[in-house]
Amino acid sequence: MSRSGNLLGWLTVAISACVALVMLAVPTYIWGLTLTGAEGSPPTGLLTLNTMDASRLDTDDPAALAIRLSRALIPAPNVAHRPRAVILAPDNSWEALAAAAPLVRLVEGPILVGDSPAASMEIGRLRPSGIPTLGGVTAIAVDVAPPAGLRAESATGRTPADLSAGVDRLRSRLPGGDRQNVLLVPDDPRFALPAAYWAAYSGDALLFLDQSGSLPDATRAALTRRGGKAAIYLFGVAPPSDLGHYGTVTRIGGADPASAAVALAQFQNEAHDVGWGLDGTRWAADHALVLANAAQPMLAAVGIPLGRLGEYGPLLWTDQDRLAPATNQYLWKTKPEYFMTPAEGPYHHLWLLGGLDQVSYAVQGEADLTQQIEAYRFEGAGLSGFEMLWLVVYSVIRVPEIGTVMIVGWGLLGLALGPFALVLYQVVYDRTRWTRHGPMTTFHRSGFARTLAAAMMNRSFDGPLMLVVSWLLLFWGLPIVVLHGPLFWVGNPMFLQIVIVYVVVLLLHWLVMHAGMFARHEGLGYLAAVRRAFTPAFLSMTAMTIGMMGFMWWVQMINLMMEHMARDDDVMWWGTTLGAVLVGLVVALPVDHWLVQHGMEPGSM
Amino acid sequence: MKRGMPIALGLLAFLGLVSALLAPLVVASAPAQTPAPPPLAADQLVTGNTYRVAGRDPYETAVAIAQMIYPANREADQPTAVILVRPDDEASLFAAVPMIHHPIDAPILFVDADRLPPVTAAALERFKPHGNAFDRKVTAYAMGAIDDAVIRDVEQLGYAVRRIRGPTDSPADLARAVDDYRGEIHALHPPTVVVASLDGLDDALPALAFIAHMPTGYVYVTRDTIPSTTRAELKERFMGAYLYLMGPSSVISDQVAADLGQYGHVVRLGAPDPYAESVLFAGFRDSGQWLGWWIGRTPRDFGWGIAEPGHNFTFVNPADWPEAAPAAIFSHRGEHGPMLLVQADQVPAPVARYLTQTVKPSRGAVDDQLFNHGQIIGTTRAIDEAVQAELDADLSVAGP
Repeated sequence: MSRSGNLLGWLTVAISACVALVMLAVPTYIWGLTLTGAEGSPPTGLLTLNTMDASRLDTDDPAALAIRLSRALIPAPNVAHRPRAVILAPDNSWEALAAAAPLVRLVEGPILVGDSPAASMEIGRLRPSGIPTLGGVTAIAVDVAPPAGLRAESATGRTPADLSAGVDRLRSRLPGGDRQNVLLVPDDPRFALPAAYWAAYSGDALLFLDQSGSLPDATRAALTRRGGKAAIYLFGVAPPSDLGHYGTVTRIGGADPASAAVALAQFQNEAHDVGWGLDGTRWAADHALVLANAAQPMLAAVGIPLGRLGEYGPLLWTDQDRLAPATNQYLWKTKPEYFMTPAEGPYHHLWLLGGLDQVSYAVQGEADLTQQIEAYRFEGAGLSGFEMLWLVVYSVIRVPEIGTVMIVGWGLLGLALGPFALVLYQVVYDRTRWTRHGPMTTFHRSGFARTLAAAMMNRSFDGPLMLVVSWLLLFWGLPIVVLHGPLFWVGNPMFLQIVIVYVVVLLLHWLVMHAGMFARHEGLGYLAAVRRAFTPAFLSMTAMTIGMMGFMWWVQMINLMMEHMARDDDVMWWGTTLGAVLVGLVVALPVDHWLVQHGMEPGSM
Repeated sequence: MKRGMPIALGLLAFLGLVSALLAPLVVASAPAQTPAPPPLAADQLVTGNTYRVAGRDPYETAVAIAQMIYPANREADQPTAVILVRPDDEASLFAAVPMIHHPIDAPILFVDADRLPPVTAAALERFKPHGNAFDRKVTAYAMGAIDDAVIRDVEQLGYAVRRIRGPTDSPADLARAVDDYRGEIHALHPPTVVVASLDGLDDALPALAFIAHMPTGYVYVTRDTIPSTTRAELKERFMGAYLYLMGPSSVISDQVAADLGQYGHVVRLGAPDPYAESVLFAGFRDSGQWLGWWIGRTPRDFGWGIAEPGHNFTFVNPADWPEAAPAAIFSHRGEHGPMLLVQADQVPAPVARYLTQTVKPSRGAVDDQLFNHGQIIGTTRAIDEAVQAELDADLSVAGP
């Protein structure tokens, strides 16, 4: 038992402790980055409020938003895109806009609110062609006076229920009569407006409940006209007791308004042709989604034509400064993924209603990120650290005969390999006879268990160390040397990284860990231990490097580089490199076996 | 004892190293200095199937494009670096486009030879690039001839700058310097190469979007000659190159095309004009075997080959090339579609035909709908409102 053996032992433990620290800190740091969205920049100095997958209509004034939207959805009212009529509504009643929603499908045109000169000018620009089945009218006024000089229909009513029943009566005069499908909504914009977007797409009837959640007379009359055959879809509230008389009832709801909107976006009844059905099962379809702030229902209501025109789709709710949890979850769930190349699609698009005071830039950035097309495989993975704790605590309490260096090594292996390390530990120590000579314990094993024990000793030190040194190099930035000619790849950053890691870790493995092990176990002086350690350290480490780095090159350079930069704060790099440690262990096993068989490496630690 | 000293010192050094490394993980980053926000560019009409990205000048447009791709709200949507180019030399600007793609993952921003424009400086202050881990955490690339004073200004903003510059400041030399640098990062020079003519840059413009989308070589010839630097660049290809000539024989002569045959397989994409060239390129695709032994056969892949609905298109006016080149990044992230060329006041007939007859979506099941989307690049002087409206109609879902 030499003095240098002891010193080297403690040095090995110290290095291992540093490695463990980095291995615990880095995933925690990456996890923290992911959770907090750190390293963001303030939304100042922006030259545009659109992002690649999101168009924002950045005005907070409902009347101005309506005109912006009209110009956006019908920029060139030529013959192909000429609306049949426009819908006119007050600029302070989301109920009127929701009631008008079923008319969007009929007019294939915009909703304008208020009676400003700008709205009149917009009608002049659109030159509606007229609805042939409704006497050629070019405007439908809902809860406002019909404009002079236009052939118009109108629907009026004191309450939202009266108004929506009025619109329903108007529709019943069209060929085909009443629509069987009825969307029954409470007097609450957070539940009614998502339904209104579907009404705009489909033309299905939309009728109101009253404040107390029961059936007002006007709604009752509209349902009665359907002769008990209505297909009723009820949003957000419990059904009134007598609703079943009027037909079938289906509830679409959720724990909160955001969940209810998501539920409708995913819902589909193919028999009745109700619901968007955007539930992530159609992976070749493009989605368009509208994000609005539930605190400003007028803006969401003015956006109703987006349910039918342009890149159309359902309404989802967000808060000003964060995505509602249900919406966030839905957006991530439906993230578009490509199979072969990102040029194949699908592509999703978002609409944001209002300025930054309605939907913040941070919300836009996150929503855009969720809808950006990516390869399926770039979903994150984690590492717990529990395996390390278990291995170290169990060894200290139950198998104290294992040397300190080995216990620390097993802890590192637990960090690097997770549950695989637990299996290996069991194979190496379970029911193994041991004897003690002085302070050293010798485990008596036979066959492949000896090889495994030797391999674990080697890999528990150099595997995590290679991982951490590779990470440090990446953290500081790899060197690159631009060269010409057939050997130009020698200057490649990853090749240089491999060479540096190999040299640094081989030296530490050989001169510290392996030499220390021989010094302690065989009572050699330092120089003799270094000489004794060279062959096993060199052969085992080289085999490990070929396996680990070969795998890293294959995964990170050949497979990931085209789409994804290796980064120090990226769980993808960390995860694939951990996988590479396991591959290195397997590739080096035959070499370790040969070393043990030829007595160059003990298998008794 | 003597023997223990270096070990103890080594241990101390190692511990010091590790604590130095961990410090930045613990210390919260300082709040960024933000300049007063410049006014929003007025010219940003959104339509049902398009949005327009434009500033008052190319410097602003480049920044607006960069902000759309990298909102910089969080670590995940910051760029890796930025590419600083001069907007006054078309051929050199085009040669910088291959820098956009992964693993570099960076937007193009404009600087002058002797000046860092305020709008670019403000954008540099806002972005917090990750840094290229494959090159000492470089956060800015200075392309071609840019004064040291400008580089120093950029470094003052906390950027680590690498110059990419050829032995001369000819565009062909810059193209080679870019190819060398990217080739070193991948340990591979891509076998597929776009051959552009210095005598017909408009014809090369449509290929830029694809180069930003997929690592592809980019070299220059003239109508009648192949520069020696281009020959050397082509020789770097392992197992020969696949060369795609952008433009008809009036911009790359048949003699040059034949001469290029010694470096690999040559395919000419020659349309009568740049607008038709952009449509030809959008529909073109060439794939097949690249390397092959009995195991591990590797494909090559070049071109969009888009002849179905459900795609995004970037619309540029070739006369407005300083704004068109940075817009290639829409094909790198998010949109991944071809670049189509239009005139300021009309949609050229081949483009209109392609949009309305080849890729037009029609109304289908609500859960299975396909949409086309268009990015309109530049002010209404580059592409006017009527053209945007017509493109919107062409892209939109057909039928009532």
